[in-house]
Amino acid sequence: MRFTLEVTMTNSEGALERLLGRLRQRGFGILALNADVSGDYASLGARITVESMRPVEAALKQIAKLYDVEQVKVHHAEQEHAKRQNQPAELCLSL
Amino acid sequence: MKGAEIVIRALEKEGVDTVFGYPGGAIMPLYDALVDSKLKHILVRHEQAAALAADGYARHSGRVGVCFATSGPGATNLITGIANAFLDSVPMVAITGQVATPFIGTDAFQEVDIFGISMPVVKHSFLVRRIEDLASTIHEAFQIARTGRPGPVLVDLPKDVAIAELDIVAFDDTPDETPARPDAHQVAIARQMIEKSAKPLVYAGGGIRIAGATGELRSFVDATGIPVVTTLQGIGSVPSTHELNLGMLGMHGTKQANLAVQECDLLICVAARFDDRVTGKLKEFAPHAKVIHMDIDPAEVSKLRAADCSIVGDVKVALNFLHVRPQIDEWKERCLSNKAAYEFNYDVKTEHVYAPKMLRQLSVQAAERETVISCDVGQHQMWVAQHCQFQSPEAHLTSGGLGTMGYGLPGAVGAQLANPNARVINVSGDGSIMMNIQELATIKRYNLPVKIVLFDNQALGMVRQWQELFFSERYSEVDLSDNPDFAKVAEAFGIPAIKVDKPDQVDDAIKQILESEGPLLAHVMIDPRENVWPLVPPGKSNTEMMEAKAV
Repeated sequence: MRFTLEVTMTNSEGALERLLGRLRQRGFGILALNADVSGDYASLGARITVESMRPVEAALKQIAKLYDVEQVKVHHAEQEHAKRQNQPAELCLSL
Repeated sequence: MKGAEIVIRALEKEGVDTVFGYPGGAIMPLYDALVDSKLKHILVRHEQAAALAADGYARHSGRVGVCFATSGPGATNLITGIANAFLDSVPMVAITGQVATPFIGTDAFQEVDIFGISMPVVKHSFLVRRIEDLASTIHEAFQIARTGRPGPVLVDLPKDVAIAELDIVAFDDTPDETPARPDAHQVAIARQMIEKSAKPLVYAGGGIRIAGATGELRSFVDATGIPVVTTLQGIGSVPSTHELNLGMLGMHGTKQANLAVQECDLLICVAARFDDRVTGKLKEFAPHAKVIHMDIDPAEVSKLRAADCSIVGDVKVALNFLHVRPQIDEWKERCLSNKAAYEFNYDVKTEHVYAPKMLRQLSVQAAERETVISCDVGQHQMWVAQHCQFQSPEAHLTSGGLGTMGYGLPGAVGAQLANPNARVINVSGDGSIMMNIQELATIKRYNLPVKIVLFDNQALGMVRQWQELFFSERYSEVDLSDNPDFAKVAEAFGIPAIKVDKPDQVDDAIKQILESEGPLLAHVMIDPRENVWPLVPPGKSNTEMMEAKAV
């Protein structure tokens, strides 16, 4: 399954590395990544497309556990969403 | 105030009394500041032991364990201990010296990127580049380590930050967040599920000790009358002697525990995580059961087994709201009759010392005063889990998640320093003891009355057992028949030792272990062919237990 994560996190040392490492270690392959530091350098926004046989909820919960993470949203890829009628198109977890 | 003094002062403000560590170049400013501090520093003989002793200290006391190491090899040597704490959710703060900030990234002497290396095995980590951030970072590190699901936090301290000066230091004392209260609706659903169940079973894990929920669990079990199985880490959360305690489940679990899991219609998972050593073949684990899963960590709920009811938050609160009494007399009777039928048999005909029997006898006789057993990893670890009796989970220290050979001796050092009045026994094997045998020097240096029961089967017993059972008896690199004379080794460190070669020496050995004042090593020779039973073969369902064979 392919989906996109939108993560907002504190721009602390190693924050992005932690995020990517957690995804890799938990079995989510990274297909695309775009990340920007905010104008005041305080926060970091990342949009990551990942692919995995594992459920999206696992990625969501594992990312939400990271101390730096303030919010994480998940968007299902279009074609996947069509197959998963019972799933919301977007899951969001604010911390 | 210098950076290093800020760190020491911040540790004192966190209530730290004991630190385990080993000095070196980049962390020398911290050791200099230590001279003027009341902190008790325990000099171990290998940094891995510093982290593992801090782990033992934390597991037994519930307080944050603290360890120091220098940059480079000092820091990398901590990693196994940090990972051990991570896998078993042990609160720990590890402070590592680092080369000065201008040298970071230049391959300077004793420079490694410990911040990066440790990332997958810490709950969080900091590289403190500014002295202004130091005091608040230490407080934050402690808060992260001990709140929510605990874990290790690494603070990497560059040498220039440690020797920098700061005129005004603001120490942070923000209170910790309290655990989230469970959702009332989910708790109400759980109550209904328990009331309606005919064959409920409590599956109790290590989170009970961590949450300090032993009392709440026992009240819940007594109020509901539901039988209990425990994980390796959950041992002692309900006393081993409790009527409803069916023992440990899983790969080396009791037959009555595994049968109860396979037959139950409701599995009440309290702060456990469906580890593969517990479940065996996951698809066939508790096949008839609905699941209530209580945990502080939302990522554990439905990670491996979908929960029908999820209760995330303070397990103490949840358990207190679940005092209902389902009609389960028949089920309880079945569980208890299985328990009686499948009791371990200690009447084994052997010319050798039978380790399970000796451990049983030791733990029963030790019960007259507070006793802590710190295990290493392997066959003896499972024998302790199966045959020793525990009244509390803090009395059983064992490396579960990581399975770290070498944990037991430094773990015992940590527990003894956390609780000087307790009797602390390290149960080890001839493989494991060699992984951190240098800590005999630490025991001697601080005259810690740690007792070591070393079961010697002249082999890496658990690996040998698996090669016998699953690799067609093709024994590969498990022979340790050239072991040193462990009694002489202990004596060389200044620690008295006794040898136990025959069953008729066991009674006297136990007496000496329990009654001698200072440290003691009991070198116990056992039969290399002795295995751990029962055993669920890897990848099999928990119903497919292999039973004991006569040696």
